[in-house]
Amino acid sequence: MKWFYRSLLFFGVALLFAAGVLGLNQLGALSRFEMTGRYGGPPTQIQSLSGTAPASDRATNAGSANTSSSSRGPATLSGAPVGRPRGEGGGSFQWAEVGKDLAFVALAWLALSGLDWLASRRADTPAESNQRRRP
Amino acid sequence: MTTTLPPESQPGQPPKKKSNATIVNMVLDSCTFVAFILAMQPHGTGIPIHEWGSVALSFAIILHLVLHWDWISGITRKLLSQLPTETRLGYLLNLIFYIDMTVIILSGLLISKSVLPALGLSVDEHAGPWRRLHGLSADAGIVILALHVAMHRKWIVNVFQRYVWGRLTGQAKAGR
Repeated sequence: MKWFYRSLLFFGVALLFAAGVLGLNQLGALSRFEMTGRYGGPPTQIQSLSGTAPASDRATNAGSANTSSSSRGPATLSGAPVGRPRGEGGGSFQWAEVGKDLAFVALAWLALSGLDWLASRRADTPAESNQRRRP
Repeated sequence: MTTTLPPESQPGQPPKKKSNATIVNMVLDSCTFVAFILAMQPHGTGIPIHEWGSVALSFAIILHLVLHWDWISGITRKLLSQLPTETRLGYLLNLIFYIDMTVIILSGLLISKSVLPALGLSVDEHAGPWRRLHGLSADAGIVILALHVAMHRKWIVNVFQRYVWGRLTGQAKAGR
């Protein structure tokens, strides 16, 4: 029963964080993450443009559509944010992405091991020098 | 979370119980790690497996937290008193990881194509900031996971040496 209450506590804290994120969204703090278009599809602004409008109007409207989409964050002409999201590269495993993820783990492992080694070496140095000074 | 390995035999304490807990931790952590890496490939696994697997992963993470209750509650109580910098950094990293995982799961549910429809709810994947936030928090998650794993590298090496490599070589020696 103790385990059940503890898991409920962690779940409750996660719900609090989630409520915080939803609250931030309500306040509009997350609006910069909103997508202006669908990945691989045309932006909604361009989709709604009438094909019968004069070319000059179309150019003006398209220009304003591009301005509004760029003000919301980096976006390509098709309206999708720059770069593809994870796993959207095709219908199978992206082994390059898996390799990149595992490389991050290996890099962090090596970096912290290196820091550890440097720290231990620094800690050893005064003792070694003291030993050398002793007759 | 600094978890010490149980000694081979400790007088007055049942070592078997402690080593069982270490094995449970090792198996759970290994499965969670593999599941996390697989969850990063929604098109590789397919969306239903990605979503239902991630729901299962969130329960595994809560179990992982419950298994480390002593460390979490102990450090939380001592947070305002003197603590080693490494422990404080570890605590901060774990807290950020917890918040990031919450964002990943929440945004994932809000763009869900499989879990929420199965519960009779429908959402627009492209409405609001959730699609992009899901990708960004997942990218941040892999970096934090890498640091989390690297911070516990000594425990990981010790456990694998004792319970995996040790048993494999022990069995190999016994088989000869």
